[in-house]
Amino acid sequence: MATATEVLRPVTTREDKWRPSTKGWVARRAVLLLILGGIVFLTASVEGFWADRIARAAIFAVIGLSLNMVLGYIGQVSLGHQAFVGIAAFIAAYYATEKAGCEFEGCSMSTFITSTVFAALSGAIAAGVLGLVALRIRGLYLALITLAYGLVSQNSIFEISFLTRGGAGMPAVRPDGWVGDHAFAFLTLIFLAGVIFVDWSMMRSKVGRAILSVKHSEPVAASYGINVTGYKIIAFVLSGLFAGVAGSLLAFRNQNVVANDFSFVETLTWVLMVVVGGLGNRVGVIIGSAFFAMFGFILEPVLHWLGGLWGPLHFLEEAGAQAYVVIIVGAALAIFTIIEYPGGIGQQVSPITRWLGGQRFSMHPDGHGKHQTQASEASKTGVMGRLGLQRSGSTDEVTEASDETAPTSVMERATVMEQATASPPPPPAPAVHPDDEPVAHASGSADDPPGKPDPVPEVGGTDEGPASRKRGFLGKLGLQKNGAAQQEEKTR
Amino acid sequence: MRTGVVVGVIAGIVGLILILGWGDVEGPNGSIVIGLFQGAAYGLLAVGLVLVYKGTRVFNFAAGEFGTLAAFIAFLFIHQWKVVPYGLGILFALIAITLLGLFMERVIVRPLMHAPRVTLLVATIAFGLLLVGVELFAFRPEPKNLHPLIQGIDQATGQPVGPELAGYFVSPQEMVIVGVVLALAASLGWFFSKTDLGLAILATSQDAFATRVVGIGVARTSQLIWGMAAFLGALAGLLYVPAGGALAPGVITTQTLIPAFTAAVIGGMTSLPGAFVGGIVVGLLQQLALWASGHYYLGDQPWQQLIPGSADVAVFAALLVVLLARPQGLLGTEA
Amino acid sequence: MSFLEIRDLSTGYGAIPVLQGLSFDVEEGETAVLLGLNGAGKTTTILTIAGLHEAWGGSVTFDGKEITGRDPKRLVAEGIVLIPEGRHVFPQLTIAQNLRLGAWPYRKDRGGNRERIEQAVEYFPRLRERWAQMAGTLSGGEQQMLAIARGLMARPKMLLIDEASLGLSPKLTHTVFDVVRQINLAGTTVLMVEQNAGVLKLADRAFVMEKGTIVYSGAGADMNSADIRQAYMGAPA
Ligand SMILES: Nc1ncnc2c1ncn2[C@@H]1O[C@H](COP(=O)(O)OP(=O)(O)OP(=O)(O)O)[C@@H](O)[C@H]1O
Ligand SMILES: [Mg+2]
Repeated sequence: MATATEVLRPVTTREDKWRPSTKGWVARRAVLLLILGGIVFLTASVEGFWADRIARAAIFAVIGLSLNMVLGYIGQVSLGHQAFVGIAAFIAAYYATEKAGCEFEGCSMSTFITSTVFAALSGAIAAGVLGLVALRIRGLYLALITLAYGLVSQNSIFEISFLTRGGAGMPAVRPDGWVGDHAFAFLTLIFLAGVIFVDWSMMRSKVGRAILSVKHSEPVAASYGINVTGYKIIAFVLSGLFAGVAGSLLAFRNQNVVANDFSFVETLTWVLMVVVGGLGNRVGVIIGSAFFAMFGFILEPVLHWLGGLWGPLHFLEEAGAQAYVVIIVGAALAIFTIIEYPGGIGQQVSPITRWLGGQRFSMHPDGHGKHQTQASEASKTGVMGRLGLQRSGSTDEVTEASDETAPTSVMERATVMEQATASPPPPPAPAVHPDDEPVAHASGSADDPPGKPDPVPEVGGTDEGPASRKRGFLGKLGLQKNGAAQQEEKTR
Repeated sequence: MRTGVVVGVIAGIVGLILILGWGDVEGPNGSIVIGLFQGAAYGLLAVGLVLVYKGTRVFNFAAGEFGTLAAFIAFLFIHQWKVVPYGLGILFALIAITLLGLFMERVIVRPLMHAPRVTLLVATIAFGLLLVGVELFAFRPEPKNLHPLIQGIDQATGQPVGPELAGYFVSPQEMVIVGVVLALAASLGWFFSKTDLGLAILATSQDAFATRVVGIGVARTSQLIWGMAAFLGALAGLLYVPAGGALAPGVITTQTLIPAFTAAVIGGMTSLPGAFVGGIVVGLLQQLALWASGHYYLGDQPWQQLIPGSADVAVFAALLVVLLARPQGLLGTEA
Repeated sequence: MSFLEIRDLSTGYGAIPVLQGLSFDVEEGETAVLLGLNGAGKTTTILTIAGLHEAWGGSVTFDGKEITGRDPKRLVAEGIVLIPEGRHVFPQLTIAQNLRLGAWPYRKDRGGNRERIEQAVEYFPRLRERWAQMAGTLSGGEQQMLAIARGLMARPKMLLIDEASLGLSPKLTHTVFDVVRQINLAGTTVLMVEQNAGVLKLADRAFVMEKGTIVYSGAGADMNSADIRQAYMGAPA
């Protein structure tokens, strides 16, 4: 199949073609190792309570990646993640304590693993159900549903007394050998690494690219034979899986699960940390999440110092004050990010991540993404190409460049959300591709694509306006419309 | 709006409460009355939500905190500093929150006017969270108590004040709610059908491009909308908190935002009277759920023990059903 | 100095340019017509003049004042009034309310508005018959009448009309053109975008657009000659 595939790079800039020398690669790998080694060294050498905080940061990063799957990759807002994480935490603790008897006898590693598996499953199932709902309800209304779900869980499921031991909380004893704060921090870092790996390999696979195309425009993706429904649910399930893992880790990290840990304030903070990190940008999300997790601890001494400085500021020293300042500053930071730097941290660090990924160091990687109609309009055309989707001759062969180079600005990614959710709706594919109609009827199902060459002309060089441009970037998907997909589109 | 359907639903719920409660010692009447009053508060908030959605296409998730913060400001002036009489404290709170709404419009909504709707939604979440943070920081999480204008219980005799309605003592605060709601309904109706500005807001919600074509300033209507929505949100908080109990940070968001949104969705997200009536539906529905779950036994446990928070579950179910059953029809293009 | 002067106007959507250095003049009191193939940029031009689309470069001068980039709110008050493509009446307001909003800059002038309304229903008696009907339930032709009437409420000095005849019956098209002629005779300068060749009869001046620039301009009468018609109908240039 690969031989028959004509692979054209979509947005071929000079940077894309450029490859570092061997020396360059060595330098890049060395820096990467240095960063990873630094994290390990830091975790091993800091005091116990700081290791515990690192564990919290790692768990937040897992939660961030979980949310990013829904918010960043498929462009739907989930405000009910505290429910996924919370229910998973209770289930993990419940299994470890009530079923495996960890409370008095200590916990074996296998019990911990089993708890985590149950937690992950609970998250996956809950998110899968949400995914089903999301097939019909999208955008603002889905956000509403998820918020309602989160609040209902808070007032309902988290009040079920056999789970919460009547509000006192369900204990979760850490597994033998990983009881210390340092050891447990390493355990969470291992899980984080695993989650990153799953996220990375999924997003560079066919599934990941299909998910991104769904985000760009559902009807269009459907008309090109992408199983929109399936991929959306996969994304939700994976998100729930990550949330479940995070829930279990959080349970054992806290060692006692109480409902208060999963308030709506928590959920909203999680959403904001992903936004600040940069929607759809893995590295940015991890940094953003870790920052939100750690920020309060860094702020504490500062507030103490400020409070001691001047009498009227004394209230800053009060216990709890720092937790609230974190909420205020975090929210303000998120507002600032959304308005001024929609690309988030991810975009700011993208020169570095791109360099590490094997490209030239450049301070001006991609759009600045301020909210202007112009910018948003412009991005419409480029997104598909920049998502790394390439044109090829067959339906299921979609190759891509590194997804780390995907557009990082909220604007670009979010334009896509707009298209899927808000008016004006994207024109139905048949209208956009009138000349594709015969192909649509001639070709078979998505699983059995015809090996005929791409009917779509190359982008650029034409001045026929958006219709031709749209066709262009769809062509880059390498996908052809087929009858089944059209059917699906009609029934939507 | 599908007025008939809504009236039918209300009649159905009331009928169910009546039928199920027949012969019950406490009787079902109290539930109906409470449901009506709570529903009125939801309706107020819902009207603000719909106004903002119609006029600026934003789901304002910070709306609940307009109410909470208003209650806190009133609490600050009336109970903590004890510097002003009750009415003046309420007035200060209303003014402050209206200004806050204008501020939010200027700082968040206007810069993001052309941004995708979901981005704006996240921004309102951030703003709401910011307000929760401010409340936590300034007032701490321990619940406070904002008294109603007139105490519901006579201090001397311990008897409930106020007239009796079908076996339920209507508290003065609840009568204030009814009065305010009626006055508000009348003035809003007048504003939107008779005044130029009211028409301009309606027009904005129907065709934003066309309002620019006829030369209506976008900034001005947007400001007006947010100011009004904040005012309504504040009013809902100031009425609901003294009647409904404790004043804690984020309380309106956790307790009334979802019922209010559900009410707005029942009203199609576009109809102001629909949103208000939707509020009544939700209020009654909650009472039906609460009452039923407390009275029906499953084995040896009442439902309430098995599934706590039945009122919330009922609201969630209603929201889900409405959205799933009529994702396009009821909600237009953005479902 | 002409009444309306467009100089080197350029704009577009996103990064894609649509107008690339467009220049033309409309004199006071005349009726000008802008012709061109679909997608030539006629609507874009007229929206940019009306302040509803941002110009990237160039200038628009109206009555001696540069008005490029001004808020439509101010432009309407100064008398530049658009009757947009696709009618854009307020669907859930009555005809009466639509007209009332049309007079937005003059909303305090109740008496003047009443006169204007009288005038409008004289042009389109059908509007009076449907006075309290929601605009969204009107027929397409009735909506177009309402859109024109609403535009007249704003006391235009310069009326921009984008494809008023779209989807109208020949008879109604004739009526609409006739009303435009009357409006023009009453002293309003008119710039029309049209596909209907019948418009040339009332045009003092015509411009043909192609790919964002003016490729032909001349007196409306000249445009009747067959070869130029052919040019704008799309024969290869
Ligand atoms: N909102 C938009 N976003 C992107 N491109 C647009 C937008 N509006 C118009 N265009 C493009 O700009 C070009 C000019 O459009 P315009 O509407 O001005 O053409 P027109 O001459 O009025 O055509 P018609 O006769 O069909 O009305 C077209 O290629 C069109 O596709
Ligand atoms: Mg046009």
